[in-house]
Amino acid sequence: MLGKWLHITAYALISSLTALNLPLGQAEPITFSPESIHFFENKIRPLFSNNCLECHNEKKHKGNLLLSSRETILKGGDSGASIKLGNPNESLLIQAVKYTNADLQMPPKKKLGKQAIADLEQWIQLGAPWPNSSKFAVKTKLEHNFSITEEDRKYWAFQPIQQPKLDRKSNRSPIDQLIEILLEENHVKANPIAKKATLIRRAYFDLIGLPPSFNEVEKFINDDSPDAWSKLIEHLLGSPQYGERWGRHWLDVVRFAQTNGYERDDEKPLVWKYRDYVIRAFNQDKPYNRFVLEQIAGDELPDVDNDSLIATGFYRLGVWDDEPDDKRLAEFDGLDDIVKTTTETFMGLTVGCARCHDHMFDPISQQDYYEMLSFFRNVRHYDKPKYEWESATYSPLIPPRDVFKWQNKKNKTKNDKPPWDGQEFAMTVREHITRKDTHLLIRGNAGRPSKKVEPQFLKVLDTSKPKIPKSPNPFTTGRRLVLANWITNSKHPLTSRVMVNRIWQFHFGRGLVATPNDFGKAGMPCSNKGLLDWLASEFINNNWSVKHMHRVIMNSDAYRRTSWQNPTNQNIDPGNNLIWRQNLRRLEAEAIRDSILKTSGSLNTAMGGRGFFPEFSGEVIAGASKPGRGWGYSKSVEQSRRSIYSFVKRTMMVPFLEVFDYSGTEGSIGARTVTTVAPQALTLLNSKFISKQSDELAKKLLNNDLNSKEEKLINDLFQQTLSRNARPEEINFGIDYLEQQTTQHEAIKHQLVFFPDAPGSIEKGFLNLLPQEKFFISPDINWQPYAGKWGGGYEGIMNVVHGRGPFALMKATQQADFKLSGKIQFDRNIKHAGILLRASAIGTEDRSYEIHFDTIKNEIKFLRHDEDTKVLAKCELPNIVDWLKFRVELTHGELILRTGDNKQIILRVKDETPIEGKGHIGIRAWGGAVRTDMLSLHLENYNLLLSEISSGNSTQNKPYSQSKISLAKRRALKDLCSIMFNVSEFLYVD
Amino acid sequence: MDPNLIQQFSRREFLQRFGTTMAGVSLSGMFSGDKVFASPASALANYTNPLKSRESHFPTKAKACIYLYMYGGPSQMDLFDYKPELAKNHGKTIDIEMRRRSIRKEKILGPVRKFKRRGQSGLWCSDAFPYLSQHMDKMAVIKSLYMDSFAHGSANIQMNSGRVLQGHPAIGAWIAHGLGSANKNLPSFVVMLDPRGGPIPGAANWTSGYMPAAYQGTVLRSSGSPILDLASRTSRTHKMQGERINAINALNGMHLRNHKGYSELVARIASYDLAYQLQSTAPEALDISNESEKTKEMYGLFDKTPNHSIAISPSHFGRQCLVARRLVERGVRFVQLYSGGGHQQQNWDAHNGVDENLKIHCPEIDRPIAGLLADLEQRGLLEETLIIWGGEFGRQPVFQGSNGGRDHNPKGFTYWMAGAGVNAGTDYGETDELGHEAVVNRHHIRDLHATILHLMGLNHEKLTYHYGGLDQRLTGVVPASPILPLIS
Repeated sequence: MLGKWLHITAYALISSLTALNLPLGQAEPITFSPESIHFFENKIRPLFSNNCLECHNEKKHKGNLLLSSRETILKGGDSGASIKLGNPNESLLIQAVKYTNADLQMPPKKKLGKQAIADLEQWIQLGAPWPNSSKFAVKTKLEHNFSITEEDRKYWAFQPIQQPKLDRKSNRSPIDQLIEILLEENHVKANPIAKKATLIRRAYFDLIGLPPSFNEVEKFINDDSPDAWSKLIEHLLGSPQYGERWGRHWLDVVRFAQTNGYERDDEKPLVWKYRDYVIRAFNQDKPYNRFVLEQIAGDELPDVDNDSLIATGFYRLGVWDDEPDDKRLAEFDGLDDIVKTTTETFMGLTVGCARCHDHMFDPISQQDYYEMLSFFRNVRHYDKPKYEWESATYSPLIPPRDVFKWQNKKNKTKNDKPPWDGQEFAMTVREHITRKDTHLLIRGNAGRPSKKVEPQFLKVLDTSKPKIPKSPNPFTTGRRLVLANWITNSKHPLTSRVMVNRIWQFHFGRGLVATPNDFGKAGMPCSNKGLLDWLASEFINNNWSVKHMHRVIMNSDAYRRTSWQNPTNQNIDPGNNLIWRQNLRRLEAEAIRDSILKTSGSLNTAMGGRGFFPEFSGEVIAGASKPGRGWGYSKSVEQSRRSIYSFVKRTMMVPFLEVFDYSGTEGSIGARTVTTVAPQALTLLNSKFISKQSDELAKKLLNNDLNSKEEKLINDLFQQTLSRNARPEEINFGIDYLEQQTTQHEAIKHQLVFFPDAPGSIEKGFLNLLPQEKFFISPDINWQPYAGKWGGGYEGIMNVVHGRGPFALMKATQQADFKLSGKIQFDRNIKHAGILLRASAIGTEDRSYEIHFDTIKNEIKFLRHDEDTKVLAKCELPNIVDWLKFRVELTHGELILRTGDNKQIILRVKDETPIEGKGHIGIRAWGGAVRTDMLSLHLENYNLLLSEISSGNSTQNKPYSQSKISLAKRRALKDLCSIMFNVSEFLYVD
Repeated sequence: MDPNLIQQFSRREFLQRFGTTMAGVSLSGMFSGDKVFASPASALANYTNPLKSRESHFPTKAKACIYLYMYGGPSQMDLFDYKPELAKNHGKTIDIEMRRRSIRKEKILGPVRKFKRRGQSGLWCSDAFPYLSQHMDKMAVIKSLYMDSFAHGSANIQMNSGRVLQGHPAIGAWIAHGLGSANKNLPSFVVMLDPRGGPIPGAANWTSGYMPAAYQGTVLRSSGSPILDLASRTSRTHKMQGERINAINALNGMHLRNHKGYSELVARIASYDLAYQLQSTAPEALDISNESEKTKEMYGLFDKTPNHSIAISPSHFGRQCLVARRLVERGVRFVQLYSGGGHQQQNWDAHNGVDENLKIHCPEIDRPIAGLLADLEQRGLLEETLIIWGGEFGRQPVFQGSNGGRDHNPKGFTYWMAGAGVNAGTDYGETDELGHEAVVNRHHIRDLHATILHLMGLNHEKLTYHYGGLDQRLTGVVPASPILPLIS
């Protein structure tokens, strides 16, 4: 019985109920038997009043349903008539109380008892007896009392763009004239023009997101020609890195990511082609109206081409649950994502707010929402990638009309190949071949469709009926092209305003409308409407050229002013709404990372493609349910590419980018929030990335001039990082810092640090992908890291074998017998650590003797690791204050451990079946870092400090090894380099 | 340093802090003028520390919340929801909704554990929790929750953020937004994960969504570096690290001098100070070495690992519970502990055998949670700490697979709460006779969220964040209300 109900589709329900609607005005007087009235009064009335009337009464009538009179019950609410007289099985009321329809379960808090339901059924069977029914008046609230008033239409953002009055004779730019009006009104004097050194840095970051080199700054400062500034702008606009910078801004707005989200969070293959298209479009200065047309309707354009098809990847960027709880709802969530993103991105309107009810602030009705949705109704819901013509989300890069021609071609021979044969594919929009109707959904509930709607523009902007020409092929409806043409019409009051506002925002840190995705009443008011309108018409009049707008804006005085917070002005206009100054801006996450790479000399400017996988530390990987699944491994040179090419996985964001307020990926982001929090400091102080780049920068500095004086070294450092010479006090500071830190590094130069960098569980595929050095961080290249032993395999997850995890071997020496002494120290959170002797690697595992320190059980053990581990002996771990002094001897099968100042033997054992042959010294650690100090090998004639063994023929260390600078000083210089990556001057644009 | 104090700093004090503490490094010469900040008031006018401690909407007992998240969906009818009819009808075939609108014929699987009434309150608890069952009088148990998804991905997201759609802030982020952090040296929202892996779909469960990243959950590890990048990777002493930070702050102080009025630059200096503090406060909060042996024993730190290859020792969760206590003592607002990680039997997702699943996971958490409740009580902290226990959904009363598994069930499941403001000893709500669907006092989880916020002193209708044209709420647009019978 239950199953039967479930097979009734919501649509069928609605149509059957509509047929039942009673002609209300002509209801005949009905009389009921006293028995039936008695039944009503005893059973039904209490039932209604106890369970239903709280919500469905004269005042409240949820779902527009009143259950207080027979007429209103018959009339029903949003879902249609509540009952079908004499037929309880087909009555909506009975379905609702029986909870047979998941979308309509009443009362919502608690299902009625069986008896109560039976009573209701009987009541309907009896013809719904009700006393004096004619007395009750029919009252229903008009739900759709929505109307657009003249005042609504007068709202500035809905009004046509107006050319503001300008002094045509003035030699000041219109931007400055329009700003000046407001400044004068408020008695604010604008800041002076900034210094050239400030300007060039500002221009570089604004246009390409990278810092200028010292030489570039010098050249610009010394260029006295009147067009020096224009030349600089042209140079930057012509750089391919311009598209990477501005493409990234666009990707924020369109919720770009490369995976689906949710449980599996699988990759959206080829979605990177969309990212590359965006970069290309900005670099080509593709007219913005064309850019919009291509994204909304690239497949429907008469001049469809590869790029216009790839552009429709726009539809495919959202999250997708491959295992939705409710498929029908998921389809509408997908369409909602499109409506929301499209309207916020291109029109700065939050039409998505009207999914369930009329917009709370703006004159956008729920009907408007569904009429907008109907332009997209035929777009197929996202699905797993299939590279064939029938795919829901991919298509070959050929015009759809070619496929249509092919399908209509008669007498195809065997040799005829379909037009998609051998073609490149991309992720694109695809439509259903069978047309889908759009219905207004009551309260946004996909299970409660109401009246059918047709494509219609937002009525507050345009009441004309869209004319949708017959599509030239069956693969699309042609509706999206009509919408795209409407949006890109030069008369559209929002499209150009919204885009010039975005451009302005990335030159000033804030738009003239500070809520770039919301030009409605809930957004921020426009701070200078005349200016916004002038920019918008300038944009349209210049073929929607984004690059033109950069030129116009950057050539204004307003753009070139200092960011000085003049206290007088600040009191009048603390938010700089009048634009009397520039704003100091923190660089975005990508610009910070890219600048560090460029500064250290590692930046790889290769463009395009799937992207690279930044390295994660173990703790980040540990957060995934299948740690590492779906992540890849990229070589160092790949990892030095610009951040826009960093793979965007929704459930595992790159911590370095995320901590600096990287864009959200789930919905359109018009302006990123900027936070200042301690984890940013930790990242810039301690992350592996910073450590590596500081090292690179130190090498570069020493490489430049091996014998330079310290003044020059410090000055070079400032030139490299801040593109300027160091001031005398900074030189002094640098020299002092180097000197002081060198002394301190000298004191600890024989310390070695080892730590594991892997979570205890890793997905098998990722485990196999990772090179061994990623499992264990060792102090220098003499120490070869290994992954250790991994087992398990439950659900494809591998676990580290307890006690046999990652380790490193000192490859420079190899012996059979060892006398090793030194000091050892453990991190507070370490689980266990070990010193390996006569160790060799077999695959990723070790064969060795281990002096094993178990800091949880407070034990020291002698272990022999072969395929299995044997405990040879154990004793209590002495109380360690800071460092543990030790000396260990291995002579054939005999192991002796001495600790403390008095070198007392605390453990001694003879292994009867010793490991034969020579081996290395090694260190193992799990759970935290191990430090050693003065680790020395006692050879026959001399003692060898392990930290002093030179790093072999490594090319990696060449600049260092050639230099005469001590290790301690190199480390001090590296510290100083890392400091420069932390200073505000490096991280902010003035 | 509290940025609000910066305005009171004279130049000399500032130098003491950032300049002259770097012995031998002559930065003092870099500063001139009487004050480091000429117009300190305006410098701070626009600056608000996102994690500054904020007043609750109304007075409340709870200062912090510990959310014990049983990832995978624990089986209500084998733990707290006693269903005698389920046992009687074991083996019978019924029609039952197994996935949304998918009704199938399935065989009833009776409870796999024995139930008993416990304590004064007489609340039911099965023999799966020999330790925890001694604390039933501290709990309010709600057995009639329901939510909207049959699948882990969207269910975890909804349980944590109120929506099945990815991208909304987690409840801990909402509380951070509402209350800030009571300890300026620790984050407001802390997450600790199971060593077997995180929950599906990872970090989306503790995201700050469209709110500032400062509110997102900080994953604290009980081993290794507790916070990402907390420790330096290079050989460097604590003193040297401090001097490095001093040098940065001195250079930034000088930069600030040329950018008077920019509050975010003041905040940057403060953030380095906090980072330096964190390097000692975070490891200190995690360091349980000074806890007594008795305390450690109470949390099950010395207990044996359950006898199963997938099981882990109770010491893991025990250690996390103990650390959670230490964190709330130190002012962290919201601590979320995940029991279970990865997939299938590695967490409470008992498809492949509910008996086996409970034998793996119940001993892992039983004594640790009992220890936490007892320890909080003896320290007087239970009165000001809210404890919540539950997963993303419950399980089905019918067989799945050949090993007596149970499938997902969002239509009716159990949560319990204890501690601050909770009406202890309450047995609330009912599922149907099989434990499948909530029927009496049904509550959507948005009501649970409203309840948690209420107990934390926050009105779920007033706790809003403007995004996408709307004043967003944790509880969304559908009306929600706190579940009053659970509140004392």
